[in-house]
Amino acid sequence: MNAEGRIKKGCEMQDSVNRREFLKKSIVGSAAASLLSLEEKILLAQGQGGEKSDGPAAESGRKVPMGKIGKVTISRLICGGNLTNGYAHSRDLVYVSDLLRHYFTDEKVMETYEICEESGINTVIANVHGGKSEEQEENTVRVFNKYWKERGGQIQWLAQTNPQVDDVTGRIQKAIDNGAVGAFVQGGVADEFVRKGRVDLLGKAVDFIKKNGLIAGVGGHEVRTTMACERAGIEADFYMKTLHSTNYWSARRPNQDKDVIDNGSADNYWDKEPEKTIEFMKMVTRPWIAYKVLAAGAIHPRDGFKFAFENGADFLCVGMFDFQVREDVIIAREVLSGKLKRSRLWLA
Amino acid sequence: MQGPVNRREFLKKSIVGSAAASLLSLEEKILLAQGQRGEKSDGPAESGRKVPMGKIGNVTISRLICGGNLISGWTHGRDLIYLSSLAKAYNTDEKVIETLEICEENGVNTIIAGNVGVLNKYWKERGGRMQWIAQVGPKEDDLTSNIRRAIDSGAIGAYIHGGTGDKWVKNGRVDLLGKCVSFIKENGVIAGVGGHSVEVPIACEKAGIKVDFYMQTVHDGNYWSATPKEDRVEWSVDNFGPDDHDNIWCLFPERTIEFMKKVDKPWIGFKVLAAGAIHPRDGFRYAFENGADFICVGMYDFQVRENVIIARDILAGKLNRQRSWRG
Repeated sequence: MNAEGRIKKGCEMQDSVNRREFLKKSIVGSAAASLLSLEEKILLAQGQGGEKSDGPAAESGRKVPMGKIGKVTISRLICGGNLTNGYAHSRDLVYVSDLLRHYFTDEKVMETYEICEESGINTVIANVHGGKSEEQEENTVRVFNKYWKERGGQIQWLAQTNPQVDDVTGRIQKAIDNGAVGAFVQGGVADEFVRKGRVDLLGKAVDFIKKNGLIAGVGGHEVRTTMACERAGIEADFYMKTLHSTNYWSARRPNQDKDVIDNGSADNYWDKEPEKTIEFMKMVTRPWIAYKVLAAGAIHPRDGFKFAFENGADFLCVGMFDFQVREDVIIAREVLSGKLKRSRLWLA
Repeated sequence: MQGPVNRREFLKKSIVGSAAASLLSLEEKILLAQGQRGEKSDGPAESGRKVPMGKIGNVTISRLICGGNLISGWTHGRDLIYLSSLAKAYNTDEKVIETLEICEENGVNTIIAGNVGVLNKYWKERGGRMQWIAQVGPKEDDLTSNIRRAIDSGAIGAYIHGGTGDKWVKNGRVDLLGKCVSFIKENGVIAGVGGHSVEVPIACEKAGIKVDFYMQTVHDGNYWSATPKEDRVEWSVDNFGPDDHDNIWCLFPERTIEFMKKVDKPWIGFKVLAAGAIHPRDGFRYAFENGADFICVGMYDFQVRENVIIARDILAGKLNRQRSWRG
């Protein structure tokens, strides 16, 4: 199926699984039970007792709400690809990325995608370059192709790409050729281009993506990256910009001033100044996909999702293990169907 | 149990399908390359072929012991809230059995764990011979049930969990540790006491408790997520209090090292990698040089071979160690 077909199918994918069935499914074989709220536990108990809920809060939360970027319909909760490609960002814990690479066999990645689709997530963001080593290079493309062709999977791929100064389009082209519905410049690359005064390269990448009929975005960990794009008048369809609170133990310490892309050894923060991000994004009229909303695993989704949506994100990109998807979907649904203290307009 | 696998074959095996290559030392890479070219090494590196063994009581134990926390899902992942779930999801029974097999193939003959579940399966269904030292958590009002269960289930030794050791010593109840040790020994298996604070072995020695071994944490504090020296509070390890961030297990290593120099009983050092923040090359060396007779290390299947190579290398090389080997 081509990209257009997948986009269409993605719109139709929202299932009708009701919320209690969903909770029951999510609990079986999972360690998630203890993390559920009282309300979630009551719903689960009702489900087990065969009772029916007519409450508006429960009913309104049935589906993962969707938004649109260009013509592409995208679930507001997007599955991130860092975990499947072995990027754990686990501070100084030296083994975790290795563990991910062993855990996420092709089979496990496809199982995760299937659970995403069953649960109403219709988009995955993953780097076209599937990992650090040569043998991992083809991970993303190989698994998507397998998943789409052999499993009949419909999940959309929004490609993270790493253009280089002397080859802006090569990896973007690879994403286009392999069925991506959109592409964006990876945050670290964009930060580096802007820092070197080469915002023009971001413009070229965006133009190239759009000329090929895909939605185009620019990533960034530093708010000055997004600012530079706006100032330069780059017509991105969306921004990928990190957003998380600083309310976690391993957060940025007072003596840590490095840009995110220079902080690889500690690997513990991805939005140095969230208040500046939030303020600036209020003025930006393009859709915003926020990422690292859980600070790579240190913030509970209940807090991280709420923080991101309340502070302006239109979509969240969240790395998820198979055993986390259903719970994350429940939480995203609840947050979005509840009262949100949000001042930024929805821009998608 | 120690196979004739030579070190180069060993390295080759360890690299296949693993992301460990980048972590190897130059020497290890050279050995691997030699192996790939079919060259033969006659050098002194041959002395590192086997995991050296030691003895506690009558039990022969590999100096590298497989820890059981990862199998039980205790990752001590600081504030990373998903890590223990991931460990449990990864370490299925089949994967644990595979890990135990790799351990045995590579000369690790002992596991320290709290639970016997998968081990039973491994022993009965796979013919595994891995020895089990049981970590037990006796209660003040029932000192023996947990111990009895472990012994009946095939443990060749048992020791009191470090958290319990800490708590009882802190509360002035070292007598309970003595009673547990006596009970374990009466049942014919080796007996130990665990602790995260050096106050535990200090109290046991002072009380004249006849342990066969100590399980005592040892790691340096030179890693990013360690609590800064000035903020370290005694008894805060694993106590779930405001100073416990699940990030440090040997608060005052210098004191531990100094005291253990005077202790003539075998010492199994644990948390030598600070639960994953210290590279084995550094953590193993630090522990052995500073007095540990054995080290207990939680390992995933894909880490075992590399860890064995590193332990062999360190033990076969020059060690700057003052404490006499006690086991």
